[in-house]
Parts: sequence; C-alpha cells; structure tokens
Amino acid sequence: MKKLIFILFFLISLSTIAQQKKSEKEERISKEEMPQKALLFLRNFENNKTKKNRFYFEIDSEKKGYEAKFKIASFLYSVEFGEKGNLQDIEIVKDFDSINPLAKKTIQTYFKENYAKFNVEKVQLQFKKQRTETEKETYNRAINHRRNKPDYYEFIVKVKIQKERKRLEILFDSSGNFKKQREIAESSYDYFMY
Amino acid sequence: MITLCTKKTSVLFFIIAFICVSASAQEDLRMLINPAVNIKVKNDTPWSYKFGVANREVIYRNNQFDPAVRFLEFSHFTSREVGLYGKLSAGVRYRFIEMFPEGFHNELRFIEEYTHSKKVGVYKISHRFRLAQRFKSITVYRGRYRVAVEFPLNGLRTDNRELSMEINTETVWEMANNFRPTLGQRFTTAFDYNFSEAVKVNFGLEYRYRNYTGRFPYTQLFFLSGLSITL
Repeated sequence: MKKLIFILFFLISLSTIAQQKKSEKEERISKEEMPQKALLFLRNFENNKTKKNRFYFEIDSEKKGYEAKFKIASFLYSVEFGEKGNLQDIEIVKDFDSINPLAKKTIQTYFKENYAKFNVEKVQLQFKKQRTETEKETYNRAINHRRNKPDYYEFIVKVKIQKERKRLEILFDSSGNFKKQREIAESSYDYFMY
Repeated sequence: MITLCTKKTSVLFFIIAFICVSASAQEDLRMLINPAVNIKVKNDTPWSYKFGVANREVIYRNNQFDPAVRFLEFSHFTSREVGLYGKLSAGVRYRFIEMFPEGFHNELRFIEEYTHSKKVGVYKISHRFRLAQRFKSITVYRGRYRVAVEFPLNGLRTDNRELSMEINTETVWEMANNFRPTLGQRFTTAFDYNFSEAVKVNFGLEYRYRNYTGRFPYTQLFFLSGLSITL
C-alpha cells in the first residue's frame, strides 16, 4: 500500500512539473474593484442602456488588466483596460456573415488556403485606442460600429492542421489581411468515466 | 478578490438538494461510493489513452447502513479525435467481483463510444453515444446516450485552483437474452477542481433510477470522487 501511495505521489509531482505553463489567471470581480479611471470611461456607455454588466481581472506573466463586458441592444461589448485603467481596446461580437463582404472574402480565402478544416467560433470587431486619439474618440468609433470600419477583426477559430486540432485567435486588419495569431490553450475536454 | 459565483452556486445547491430529496423519497434506495483514479496519456497526435482503477462499495441498503465492497475495476480506453469536435473511443473494463464476499461473477466489458463536445460561450456541451457489451453470468448489451454541460464557477474559464461544475443526464437501455429490455435514467452533478494542468479532482452525486419501465424499479445514489492525472 505504501508503495502504491509513493508511486501515485511521484506521478502527480512528475506530471505537475512537466506541464507547468505560464501562470495565467482570470476571475470575475465586482464593479467596485475596477480602477476608477476605467469606471469613468465606462460611463460613456451608460446612455446606451447596457445590460448584463460583468467585470473581470486578468493576469499572466506579461501583464495585468481589467475587462468589462456588457450588452447594448443585441451586441456584446468587451472593453479592455490596462493595469491602471487606461483603455486598450473595445471589441464587439458580430456574425461572420455581417462583416464587410470584401474583408470576409479575403479571410475565407485565407482559411481555405491554410487549414484542412476550420470552424469560425467567434468574430469580434476590434477598435484599438490609437495614440493619436482620445479615449472618447475610440468610444465614438466603436459605438458607431455599423458605420465605421474596425481596426482589426479578431477571430476565434477551431482548425485542423495536418492531424492536429487547435483553437486559434487570429487577427486580420480591416481589409481582411492576416496580421498575427496565437494558440489558445484547450481546457481539458475529457470527463471522468464513472 | 471577491468570488462572484452566487447564481451558479445557487443552481448547484438546488440540483444537489433535488437529487438528495428525490433519492431519500424512494423506498428501495441504495447508496454507494465510487472512488476512481485515471491516468491519461496525451501527445501531439490525435490519439490519447486512459488507464483507470476504481472501486465501488455499497454503504446503505434495506433502510440501514450496511457497507460491503462490490468490485475492484481496471479499465483502459484508447481514443482518437475525429473532425473538429468529435472523439471515437474503444475501451475495456474488467471487474473483480468474485473475490468479495457478496460477489458472483467477474465481469468483462467492451465499450465503444462517440463524443461530441463544443463550447457555447462559457458552457461546454457534450453529447456521448455509447455501446457496451457486458460479459458476466449472462451477456448484457447496453446502449447509452448522455448530454452534459460543464461551466466554470468563477470567470469565463477554469484556471488552475478554480472550480468548475458539471451537470449531466444519461439514458441507459439494457438488453439480454430471455429478459425484457430495461430503461434507466441517471442525473449527475459534480465539481471539478484543477490543481494544475495535469492534476484534477472531482466530487459529485449521481442519482440512478433503474429499470423504471419494469415491475421492480429501484434507485441508487452514488457519491462520486475521482483523481485524474495527465502525463
């Protein structure tokens, strides 16, 4: 029995050490825990009857940040802030079919050329805070997203590359040209078998 | 930081309370514990493997606490990813039953299954179709379908040292020669806790309503616990 316990602990330690990745954490927080500067900016949205307001804190090995998520009409908004509450970007969830037709065609061609199989899981219009503009100006561009072109399209796509399945976050510019991508770590999809 | 999961936690406690009340309302109730340890082997190929050991003990029956070991089980599953969201698995289980005082025949079981899992927002929804052949004193064939929902209890994803919750229900159709086919339904709720990417534990309750189309239906309440190690 002692041997069995020893082997079990050895396996647990080994697997923990072998699979340690960057420390990354995201958690839901209350509105009061958001930086004052961020809350001040979020007041811009108050006239638009926001619903389902949620606030999150995120930390990884490179940065800390805050995020506010809410709904205006049928659109889901996600506003990202830096550690001190400075606006980073505003993202709005859209259907793939409703983005600019030319950009959509370019993006579709990119997917077909690069992946054996793909499924678009999420599309977001991204309005980034530019150095040359105020936060209010970024807000104005984002809130009028039906008229304004976004800076980027952010895609979450499940793809098959050779024989491997991956979930990717891919960034395209407003014309649909590829900019960059990163792999999203899959949480375990396995269940315990009773 | 304050943990904001009150709504989800309330749902969880409602489900647990529902399972407990439903179970205690049954006359022929059996309570069992089912601890399990699984070791999963994953690599960069579409293939993955799982080795498990589990045991089951009945702790309550005939309206009294009367513990007895039912079996010790060893299992192996080999799985292959198919498509973007699917997984095909084949497995074998062997249950040592005869070695325990109340046991009759050891059991060999072959299992084939297809699982489809997809995330919708923060919810992971899984459908599982499973066939099983149980070789014991008689050969029993089973068809099963399970739908499961899993979601984090804090935030948008389950980070290490955070809890997620799983709720599932499964229909079990059982057939054997010279026996009427039987139907059963299972309801499960469980917490999963990630110690790290590689080590997870879970605790839960499973309520089984067995043979409800037959003349002698009975119910079982399982206290589940599991340790999963990924190598």
